[in-house]
Order: sequence, then C-alpha cells, then structure tokens
Amino acid sequence: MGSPLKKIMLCSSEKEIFSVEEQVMVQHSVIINNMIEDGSYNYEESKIPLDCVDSKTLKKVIDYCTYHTHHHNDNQEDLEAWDAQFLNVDSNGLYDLLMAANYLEIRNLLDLIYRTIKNMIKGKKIDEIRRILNIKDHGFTPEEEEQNRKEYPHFY
Amino acid sequence: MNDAERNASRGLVLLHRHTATARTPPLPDLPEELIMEILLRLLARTLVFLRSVCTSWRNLISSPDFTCNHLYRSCLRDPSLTPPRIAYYTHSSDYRDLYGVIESFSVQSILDNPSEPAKVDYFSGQRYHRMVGSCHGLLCFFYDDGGQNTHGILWNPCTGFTFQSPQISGQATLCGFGYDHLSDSYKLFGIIRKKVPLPSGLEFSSRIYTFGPTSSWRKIDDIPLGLLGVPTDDLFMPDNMEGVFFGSNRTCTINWRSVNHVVVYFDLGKEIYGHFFLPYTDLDNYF
Repeated sequence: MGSPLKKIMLCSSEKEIFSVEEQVMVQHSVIINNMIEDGSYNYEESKIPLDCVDSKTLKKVIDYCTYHTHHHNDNQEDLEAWDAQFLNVDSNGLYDLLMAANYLEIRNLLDLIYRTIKNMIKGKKIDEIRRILNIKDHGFTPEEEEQNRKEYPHFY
Repeated sequence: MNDAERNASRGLVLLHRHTATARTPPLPDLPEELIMEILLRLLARTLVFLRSVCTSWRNLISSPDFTCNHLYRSCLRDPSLTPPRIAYYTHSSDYRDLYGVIESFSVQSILDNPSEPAKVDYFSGQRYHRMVGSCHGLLCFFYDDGGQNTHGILWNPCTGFTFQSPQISGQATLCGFGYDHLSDSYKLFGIIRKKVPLPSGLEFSSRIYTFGPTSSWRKIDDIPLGLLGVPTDDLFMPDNMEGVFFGSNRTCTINWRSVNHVVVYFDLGKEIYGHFFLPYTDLDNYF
C-alpha cells in the first residue's frame, strides 16, 4: 500500500502527463500495484506509459479510481448512481474505457462495464444484439440461419 | 434478485436507456475474452438463444470450458444450481405417460432450506430414457424407442437445453459418459446390441460419440473379452448389472466383480479399452 501523499505519473497515448495519488491507482489497478510493489517505478523519474489509452479515457479512469478510493464508505445506492452517471458515455467511450480497464486490470471498473454491456443486450432480439455489438458476419450458412429463424422466430 | 442486484439494476436503468435503446452507433469489435466475460454474467437460459447470434458465440457457449466456468459463477449467484444434484426416474402426474420422466434437483438447496420444497427440473419425452452419467452439471442419457434405435442426449437441467446425437440402430448395453480434457469435449461411449439375421441373432459393437454439431457415431476396437476369459453372452444382456462405467475426468471405468477379478476400463481420451486384475480375496463366496 503506497503512502497517501506520494504521487505517480501516468502518460497517455498523446504523451500528456497525469499526476495521480499513488494510493488511488495502487488500490484499483493490479498492473500499477505490481509495478510499485516490485520497485520498478522510480518516483523521481518514471512515467508509466499507457500507449493504448488516450487522454480523455485516462482522465475518466483516474476519476473513477479517485472517486471510489475516497467514497468507498458511501452507501451502495449512492455509489451505483455515481457509476451510472459515470458510464453515461457513447459506445466509443464505453469501448475505450473497457479497453483501458482491461489493460490496467481495474477489476471493479471492468465488472461495472461488463454488467453494463450485459444489460445492453439483455432482453434484446438477436438482430439488435448483432447491431449493438457490431457483428456483421454471423458466420452461419444461409441454411443454418434460416433454420434458427424458423426454430426461434420470436428471438429475431 | 437480492437488494444489491435490484439497486444495481436501478442504477443502470438510466444508463441502459441512454446507451442501448436509442439508435446509437454500435460498439467497436470486442475481443473474444471480453465477450466471454459478458456472456458469463448472463443467465443460462438466455445463453441458449444467444447461441444464434453468431458462430463464434455458439462455439464459445457450447465449449465445456465455458460451461464449467458459467456453472461455477451461477452457483455463487443461485445456490439451488449447486452440484451435487440428484437425478432420478419418475412418472409424470399430469398425463398418462408410459415412458417416465427424469427429474433433477440440487442437494445443497435442500440442506440450506430444509423447510422449502426444492426446485425440481425435469425432462420428459415419448421414449424410454436411461441415464449414463453426468459431468459439469450436464446429464447424459440414452433415449430409445424400445430396442430398435437409440439417441444419446446431453441435458442441461438448469436451462432445459438438450443436445441430441444422431440416431444409431440397436440398443446400448454397457455404456459410459465423460469429459475428455485432451480434446475438450464430452464423449458418450456404449456397446451397442443390434439384432441381425440368424444364426448369430445379435451383434455387439463398441461405438463412441463426441458431442458436437457435425459429429457422428464412430466404431472402435472391441473390448478384449476373449483374452480375459469373460463370457460375452450374459454380460451384454440389458438387465445384467455386473458392470457400470463410471464417468470421471478422463476415463470411464467398468468393474466386473464376478469375472475373474478383472477390471476393464475405457480411456475416453485415447478411446481404447484397458484392464487390470484385482487381487484375490476370501470374499469371493460372498458375491
């Protein structure tokens, strides 16, 4: 566990530097926690390069981690309302956050995004799910597809 | 749904409305491991129809690895799904059912809530069924029309989803079912007894079926019975209970207690028979 006063530097794909409380990132990101623990981070010089995370997304990720570090004692309902507001982004924003959370291994954020996408497809018809998840080529032969449509007409 | 889940879904309603019901642009392509994480969070009965979304989802959802992982997660959420489960033969009370029904329920749910009736899942159909074994929460049984033709069926009691093998003519005598981790597949194996013209009258052959969309029954080398001095005639009678194949991770083992202390086993991975001898004991007369 890092000291609350220490700061670490994160560098986005646009080479923009973000200074964050160490504790915030260590608590949430498995990758950063490992880096700090094994001593590979030098507080004077190091900047953690996050080449696949753009500034806009990195800022959101830091917001998430900061809020959850300082508000973890809040009641569940308030946290969930905050999370819902936090994820009020378009599809590309959601995708970028998912990729960033996956890269940094931020488990609670990952779980939140997975649940969100799950809710996006829950109760949807197959054609709509294909559209939401951008599945252009379903890979079925025309016969198989026809068979599926015949067998489960109410799913399409 | 517990309180936390209800609150969670309330929190997400806002988001849900915003991102999914409007004609927003689709998400960019997600890597398969992330798709898997999303699918693992869905209920088994939803997954049944999501298999029709695309072939990669179908293959993912049907893979034993996914099934196992999904079962584990589902049990954390709903203890009534937890193995071990008891499966048994019964009769339907609703209609005149000559063929019987297979029912299944979780032992854990009874231990946890002895005062509440357990949630029972059932399978019924217009044929005779015979349970072979179970693995990863799936139950495998033979389904025959009274001796002429047989199907193998893999049933998931939690979803009600079944997968049926092609038909094979004859009736299964000794049989076994298990998961082969080498090929990552479920295999059903049986010695099939088939009526043929006299003089022999009956013919026995060892067949194996790998559950999968394009699979068929394959013939494999027969059991080395002559070598072991085992009389074939009685062993293959359907009511002979001398041997049972036990499903395990990889091997199905048959134990014939009455025949010269021979234990014959079937290796589901290599698809061959093997055997070993038990030591002699004074208990021989007991049997």
